[in-house]
Amino acid sequence: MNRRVKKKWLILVVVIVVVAVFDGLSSNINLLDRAIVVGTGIDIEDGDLALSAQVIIPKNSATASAGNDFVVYTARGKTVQQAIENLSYTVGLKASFAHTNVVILGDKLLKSGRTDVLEFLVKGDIVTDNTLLVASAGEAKDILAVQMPINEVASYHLTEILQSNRKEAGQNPTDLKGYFEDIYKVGNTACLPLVFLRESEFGRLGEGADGEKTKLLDVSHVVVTNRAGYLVRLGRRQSAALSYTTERLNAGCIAYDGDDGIKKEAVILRSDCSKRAISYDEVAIDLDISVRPSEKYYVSPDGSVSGISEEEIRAISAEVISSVVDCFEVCKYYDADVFHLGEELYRKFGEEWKMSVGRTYLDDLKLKISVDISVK
Amino acid sequence: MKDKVSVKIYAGQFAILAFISSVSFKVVMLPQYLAAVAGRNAWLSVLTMMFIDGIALACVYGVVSRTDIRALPAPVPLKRIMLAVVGFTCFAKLALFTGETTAYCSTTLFDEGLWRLILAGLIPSLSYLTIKGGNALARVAQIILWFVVAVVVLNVIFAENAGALKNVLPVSYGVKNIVACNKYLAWFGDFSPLLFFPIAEKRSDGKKKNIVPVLISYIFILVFSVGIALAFTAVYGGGGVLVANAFNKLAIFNKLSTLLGTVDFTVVCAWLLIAVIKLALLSIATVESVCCFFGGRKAVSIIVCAVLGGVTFFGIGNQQTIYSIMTGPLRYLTVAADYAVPVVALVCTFVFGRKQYRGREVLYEQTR
Repeated sequence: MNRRVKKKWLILVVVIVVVAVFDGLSSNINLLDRAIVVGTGIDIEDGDLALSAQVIIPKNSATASAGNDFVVYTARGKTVQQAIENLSYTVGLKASFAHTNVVILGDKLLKSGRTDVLEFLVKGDIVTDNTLLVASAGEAKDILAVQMPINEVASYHLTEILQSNRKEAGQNPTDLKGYFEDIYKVGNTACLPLVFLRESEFGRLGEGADGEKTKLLDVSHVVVTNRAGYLVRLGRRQSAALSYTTERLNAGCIAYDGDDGIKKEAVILRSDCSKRAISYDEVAIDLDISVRPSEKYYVSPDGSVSGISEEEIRAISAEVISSVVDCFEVCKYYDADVFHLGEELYRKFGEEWKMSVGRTYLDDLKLKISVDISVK
Repeated sequence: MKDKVSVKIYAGQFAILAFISSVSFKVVMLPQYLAAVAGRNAWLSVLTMMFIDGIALACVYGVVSRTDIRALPAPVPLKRIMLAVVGFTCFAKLALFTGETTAYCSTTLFDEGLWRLILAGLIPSLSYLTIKGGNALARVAQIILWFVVAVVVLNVIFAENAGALKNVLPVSYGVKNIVACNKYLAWFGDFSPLLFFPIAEKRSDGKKKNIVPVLISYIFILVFSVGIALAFTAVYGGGGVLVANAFNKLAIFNKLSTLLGTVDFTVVCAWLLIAVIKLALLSIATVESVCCFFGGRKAVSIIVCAVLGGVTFFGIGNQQTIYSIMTGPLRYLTVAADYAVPVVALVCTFVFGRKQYRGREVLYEQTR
């Protein structure tokens, strides 16, 4: 073997040795020694942050959750980083947040003004920026620990509701990226879907469930926040109004007063929204909604189908406008630009507009709403 | 002549190296830095610098298509000054980008963040590439380009519509853009290391060199750099000031992200490859300029990489230190090395070129 070949072999051996031992040297942790966190809740307890993690205990299974066990662990710390480190001690495995689907923020945390918590998440690489953010009406860990009717866990269920059905009227999903995108818009206002527990009439199904009582998750309300944290909780109708203006919708219902004085619903097939700045103090919201009659109200017992009358179209339109105005007025009271109207004005009129108005530009803002309802 | 390595490359290889050199570190920390100063109009700062970089690239190509900086037909003192400026700037940038690479790897790819261990892996690799020289580096760049292209195409195909281009509005060019360009000069002007890579007259298949690959490369550089800046603003809006490691964060908005976790490994692998090539390019340029003063290429290569290891290992410590240094007065080295030197070198090739062409080799030997 000549010197040149020897040298090549030597280099190859060195490379193999380095690659082989690098994993050991870097203290990389085996997948089996990791606690895979699928959902996280953050609360405040006695002044400390309490980080709850829904950890997957894998079994042989082909589906995301069925067949696996899930345990909720909680650890405390002064900071999120400290709580994460303590969580690993509590679990006994290295907590790994790479597959976290949802982060639930407890009510007390949101009202405490601890903005460092979310900033830590977005600045770091602990969770991805497309992780869903949800506010909890009570403690976040209660949401994580809830027993669902089917053999499902809260993290997956919330993800399915908010991601799979994210174009449904009344739901306003946001992820970590979207939250900060909104917070840094003019007006510094963002929204989080509010999750709370509702009683369920179903027992739990699935292996070993024995029909124990379950609860349901409701995400039809919204919490409005600004840079300092919690501002106001919107009701179901206001949250629906918010969804008309923020998302392109393809599902959900609009409830309104029918011709015969009965509350009716029209099913949304498609809904588009565009916002236009008209002048320095006027913004137009144009809604284009396509609906169809709901079978529940428009199919008579004899099978004949009645359409939506012109009067009812006006009623649907009035309901949409009224709910949007209601939402706007409630948020205006808290100086929350929930529709990002200031952003529209800034985009059109630039720095000149920003310099000419104060921080409370909402007080003088005129909102012009037009709704075009088409029936299919 | 054991130390002699070929640095002559083809125009196509030059174009690939120019592309990698320019885009590799504009997609990591720079978008966040620019967003902090210029806000949603940060892309205009990138566009401004890209036009200036285009002129610099044209000058560099003008030089290396005739000669290279070591063999430049210019007065020896002037050439020595130019070599010293380029060498020092390349080393300063090498330290900056080594810090950025190490910080990215330690925060994103490892639990424990053992940055010294990452350096221990990086420095020997850099030494090896530096010893092998520019020709080997150009070939490596040529090979990995296909992988990088494949990754970019895959990411475009699977991209999730996460941004809104109207986040870029209102478009206004102002003082903030100039301030941003000025403060982050060190992240621009990436072509002076290529002054050490003369372009071969003919390819092995007999084709003569031409400028087309370089023009195509510049178009890609412009589109990619400005495109990333625009995409960053479109996705994060004003929130971009909080977002480090831009390429890593942007790559996560794809249809497979729930399977991938916090990083898209194809993008990470592609970026690591081009990052190492960029670092090696700077390292080779540093070594070549030092060799013009002291000779002994292999020894100089090892010493330069060892000094780099020492500086980053013991001196700099964390990324904040090198950030402060390179956004301080030292950033004006970029103006000197990356913008002034190529222009002066090009002028020299025209002014002294014809008169002293025959004496070029003599000057080269003198400086070497």
